[in-house]
Amino acid sequence: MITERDYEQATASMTALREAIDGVIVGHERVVEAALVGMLGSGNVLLEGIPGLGKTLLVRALAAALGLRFSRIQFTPDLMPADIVGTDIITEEDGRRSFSFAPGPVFAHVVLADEINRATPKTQSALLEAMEERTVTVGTKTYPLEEPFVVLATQNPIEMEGTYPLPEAQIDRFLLKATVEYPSIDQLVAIAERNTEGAGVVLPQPVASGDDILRARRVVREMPVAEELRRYVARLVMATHPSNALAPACVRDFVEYGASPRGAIALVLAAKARAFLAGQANVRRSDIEEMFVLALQHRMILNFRGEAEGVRVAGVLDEVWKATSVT
Amino acid sequence: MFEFSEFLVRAERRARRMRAARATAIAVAVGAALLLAVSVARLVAPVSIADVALLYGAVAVLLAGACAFVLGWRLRVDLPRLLLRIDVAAGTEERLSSLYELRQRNGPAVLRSRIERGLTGRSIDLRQGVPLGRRALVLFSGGALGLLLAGGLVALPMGRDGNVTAATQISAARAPDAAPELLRESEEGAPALRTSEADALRTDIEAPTGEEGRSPDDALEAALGLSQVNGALDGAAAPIVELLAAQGELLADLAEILDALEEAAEQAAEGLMESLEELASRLPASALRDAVEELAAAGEGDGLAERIDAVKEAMAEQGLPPEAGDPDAASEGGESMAEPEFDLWSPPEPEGDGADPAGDGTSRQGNEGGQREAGEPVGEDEDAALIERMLGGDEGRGDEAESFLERKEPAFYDAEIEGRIGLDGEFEEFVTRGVPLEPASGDVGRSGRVVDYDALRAILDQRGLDAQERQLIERYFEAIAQGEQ
Repeated sequence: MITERDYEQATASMTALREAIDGVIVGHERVVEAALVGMLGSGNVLLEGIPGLGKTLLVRALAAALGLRFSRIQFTPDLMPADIVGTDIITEEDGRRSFSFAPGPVFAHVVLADEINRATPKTQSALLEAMEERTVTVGTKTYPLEEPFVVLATQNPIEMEGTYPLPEAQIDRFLLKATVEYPSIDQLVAIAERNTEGAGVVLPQPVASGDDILRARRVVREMPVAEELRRYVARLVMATHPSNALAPACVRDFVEYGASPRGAIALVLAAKARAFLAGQANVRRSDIEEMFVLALQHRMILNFRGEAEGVRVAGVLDEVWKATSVT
Repeated sequence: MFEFSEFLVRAERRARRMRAARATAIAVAVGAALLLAVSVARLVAPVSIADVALLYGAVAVLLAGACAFVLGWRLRVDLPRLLLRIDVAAGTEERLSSLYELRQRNGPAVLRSRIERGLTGRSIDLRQGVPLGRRALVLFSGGALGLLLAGGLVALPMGRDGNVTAATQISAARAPDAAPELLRESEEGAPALRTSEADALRTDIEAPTGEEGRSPDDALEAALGLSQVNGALDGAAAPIVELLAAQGELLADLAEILDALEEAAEQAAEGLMESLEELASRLPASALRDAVEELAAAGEGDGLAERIDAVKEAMAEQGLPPEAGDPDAASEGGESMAEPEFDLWSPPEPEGDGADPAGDGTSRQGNEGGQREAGEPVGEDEDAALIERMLGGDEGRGDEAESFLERKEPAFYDAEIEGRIGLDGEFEEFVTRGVPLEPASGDVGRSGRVVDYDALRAILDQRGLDAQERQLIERYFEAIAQGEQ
């Protein structure tokens, strides 16, 4: 059971973390929020956007502000699973040779899987266990990952040649998928100023610790969600299924598969984290609304008609939101 | 600090109250709609529903409303949903429902206190979160209005018996055509008729009305009362009022005719007594003369049958025709008078030759051409025939007439009902109350009590009504029956 002190400390650390990141990243409030929500929700976040928008900088700033171990994996077509999870190597000690495990870059608190869709599915799937189970298995041995652990992956939606789209099973393991939008003129001016004057962009000093994250995670899990709001979330998720009676017309027309139950879990968890980040003591409908698209858009598969007509999943989810009543 | 428990009690009470009110509104609206439908149906269709049944219906609607209120109050309230509705309506950012959730699962106190702090100082209007609802208001208003309308319709006399309304519209529409003729015939006066026979005829006419518990005068008053209400409520009912008034005039005319007939019957009875006295004075001193004198002195009092028997016995002693004075026949007649179950209404048997000693039909007063000519000489045989005619013709007929006069019952017998009005024997419509000699169309083909017109004609024959009187009465009923041939 959390105490008043836990709550106060968690709130204070998250406020400091947010301010530290905002000192580095210009704009991208929703993306920063999504990253923090993923961190507090014990989830992983997929950041999608064209190169040069600051995705990597965001992740690095987050890791730096937390003082956590950070690793970056640049995914390429020739990247092998062992390059991610590690491998057993022969070591010689006192004239005796033996195998010892050399951990891969996945053994960190914050892992940046840059351009994850450039690696082969075999390599991509090497992250599956780490993302879901928080463990890594090499040979016959399983190694637990140290908490807090979060994978922040990026992918380029434009340059699709030579890429391997993430399989559904893997993409479902991301708590949120945030789209990094192009900055506005004012934001672009500020970005140019920060990167061209003085020492350039300086990563923040640690303002929180891994313990603060774990404490905040406990608080988040205690956040109350009203029973009717949980039902509301369930109705929202069911409405994304074209065969369900709650589904609006656009879902029936353009969607092949709706969100999985993991989507409902992600939505509730993300709403809790968002409410906590907003300084609330309970989950509100607005929290669900803010997280609705982020938590479900990567879990829905459009049908051929939807793909052919260029339907945006976010647009379909907007219709689902409008068609589903909270009471 | 926000008192969540107190708020919860208030919210739950209001929710129960509003739900009970909505349930009551629905129950009253549905019940009133049904009641209104029945009331309207009673006006436009020939269905007979008693006022008291509709009164019970109204009480049932109110009881249903009360039951719905109790049920709505007692059913469990879905508090999570209620609180979320209040949250949405009051803009409390789901604090109330979250607080309830925390309370239910005994969540962290730090979160509870923070949520309660967020609610402190906020005035939450439960009327927004738990409204009665416009639909409930509309339903309740509609239900109340429906009850009022149904009550108003029940109060209309025209709705109290659909048969009366429908039948009155049919018969009254036709009655005015026959009214002037009837009036003219009544003014011509009616021949003499015995008082008892006039009473019997009146009884025959009034008896069906009496079955419905109304005399013609009562029916007239009811009809006129109905016309007044109709005229006051709806100008469209004016034709009905006129038709009903015409029917009332017809009934009044009939009453005048009956009075005239009664007066004529008294005069005829006096004339009969005088004839008997004259006959007795002309007879030689004998048992027959004594018997005739006693008969003349007796009038209509008790012992009339014995005196008639005495006359017939005296006639038999003097060798008068046995048919006129057969003691056995007289004895049978006496038995039939004492036997109320005697079948009076069987078709008349063919009369034997002995019933008419003269062979000219004068012994049957009702036969065509059987009227006695004025100044015709009267012999003993003729006297005997006259006596017998006065006493009712042959023995059986006399017994039937006497028994009919005593019983004063309509000539009914059990048989399959046949349609006699309308095209091809089917009842297209039926006459109004007061002329119940024809069954309703729905009764055709079923077993029931019907009128034996042959028996009635036979009885009229025995009563000595002449052709003109009978024609007048028959035309009266034909005018009302409209269509009987």
